[in-house]
Amino acid sequence: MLSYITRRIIIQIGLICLIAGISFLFMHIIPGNPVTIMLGESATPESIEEVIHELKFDLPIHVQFVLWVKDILHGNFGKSYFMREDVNKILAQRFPRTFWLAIWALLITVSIGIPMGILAAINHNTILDKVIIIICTSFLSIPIFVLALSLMFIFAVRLGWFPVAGGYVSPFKDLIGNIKGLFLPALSISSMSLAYLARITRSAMLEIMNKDFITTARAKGLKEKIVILKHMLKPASITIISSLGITFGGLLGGTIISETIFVVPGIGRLMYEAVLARDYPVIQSLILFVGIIYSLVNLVTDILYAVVDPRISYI
Amino acid sequence: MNLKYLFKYYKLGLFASVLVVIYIFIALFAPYIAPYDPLEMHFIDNLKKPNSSYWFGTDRYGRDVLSRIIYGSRLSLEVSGIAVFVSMFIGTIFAICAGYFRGRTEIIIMRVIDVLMSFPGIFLALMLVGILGPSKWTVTIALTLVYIPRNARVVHSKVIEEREKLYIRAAESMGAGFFRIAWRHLLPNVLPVMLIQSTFIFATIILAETSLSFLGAGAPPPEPSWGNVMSEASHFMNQAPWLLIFPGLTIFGFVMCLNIVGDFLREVLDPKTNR
Repeated sequence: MLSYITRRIIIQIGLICLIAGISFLFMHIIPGNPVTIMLGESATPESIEEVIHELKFDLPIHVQFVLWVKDILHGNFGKSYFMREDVNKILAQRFPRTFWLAIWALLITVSIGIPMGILAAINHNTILDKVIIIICTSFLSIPIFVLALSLMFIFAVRLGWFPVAGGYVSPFKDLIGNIKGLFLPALSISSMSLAYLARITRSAMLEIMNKDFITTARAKGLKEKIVILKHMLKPASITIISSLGITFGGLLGGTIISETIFVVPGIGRLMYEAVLARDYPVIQSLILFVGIIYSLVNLVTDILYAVVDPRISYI
Repeated sequence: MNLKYLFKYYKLGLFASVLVVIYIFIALFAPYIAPYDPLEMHFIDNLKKPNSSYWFGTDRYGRDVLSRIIYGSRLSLEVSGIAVFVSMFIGTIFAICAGYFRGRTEIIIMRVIDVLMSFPGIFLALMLVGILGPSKWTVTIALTLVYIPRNARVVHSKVIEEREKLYIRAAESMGAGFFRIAWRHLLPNVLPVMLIQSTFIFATIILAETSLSFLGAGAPPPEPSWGNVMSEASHFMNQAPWLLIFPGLTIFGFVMCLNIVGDFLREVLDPKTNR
């Protein structure tokens, strides 16, 4: 297994290098001059000159690349032109919000999606199974912004149970406040992932249910609970874990919309603001940042996959 | 498999297919169906509740919401439809090349796909729109680029399955070249998978397109699209909730139909992978 993990990590490092390459090239594939677009029509030639110099655009491209890599390795992501602040400072301030939002959303996804899938599978072809399938299909069909606006309207505006704009409090200071502020945004991004996870769980369970060893387990007189949890869920968990990476990607993408609607100033909203303001240094760092986070999550799920399924090591 | 059999077992799937056709029909013939001009403002009738002359109510400028949704479907379906078609076309070319030539070609193509898939779709699309500037065509290009690798991966897994089969070997031994095998043998056999994937990806792209135009990264107003109708309505959520309900239900209904049609096609065309 160790050799599999090392090989996987080496591939990952290669992938991250490619992501970094894309992030660097980003500034150079913008049609027109990014500096004039950023500074607007009214910019004086002197200020344009100054920014070009500051961004090192006047140097040859390979020198720029080396300097850029050096900066990144020193943790220097450049400077935002609209917030007049270092990008790594902005990222450090905003990342915890998205992190907790993703954690709560993942918790909701896993704790509802997996039981729903199991329930549907063990009641295969009954009304309960059909109802769960319909619920899943409809959850997969609601755009996140429609769900977010509906939740906001019902639970925040009309009933007043949650704040309308998600006020973020650190969970170490006030856990209840943190959950209260992030519950609706988390719920709105997890709907699609939980439906996806429920479908995956259901089909993985169904595939295993007809196997001979399940019949043997029942014939041995094992309790149904043990048959389901130990003999069916354990092998099914391989498929479930391998789909968690995609699930997480969906959650991360959803944060752009739900953070914008619920005014949670995290990474997703930062992306939205940066695109609207054409704040290229911020977009460039976000490409690198999100790409690395997403691929690290995939690395973790792949390693978990190998841990759960020892057969992987022989490949 | 005849129509009678289909009708007996797949009522829901057929019903959803009919609804999808109706949606497309409405989008194509919007000028004949919409009761008002979507841009015409009736200032005395602003923020009206749904009534007999304005079925879905009016927005803050007194524009008819029903007409805006009908015209909005044109833009949303056009952008998403083109993106589905082009991304499937290019994705399939990559998938077949990778699956046919194997070796280094496959490694390079699949690694590039891995890198492009290291970003959540909506994130990548928003970034591309950020580079190109928001308009109808940039959204189409961005969505196409985002979904090429996703389509290529699905088609590729089917191509490598077919590639190993005996009929391909037989064709090769008779001296058939790449183009003949790809066109006459591989393509017809991956077509069902392409059709199923296109339906699901259509649903996904509609969700992405409406989200982008909701965020203001789509076609700029006043031209209506499903997303920007919703985003204008969201400012009046408290006084006029119906402005949100109808466009929301419209998008939900269409995506739901596409998902049901996708499941239906998979059951009929590809029964092996279906569960």
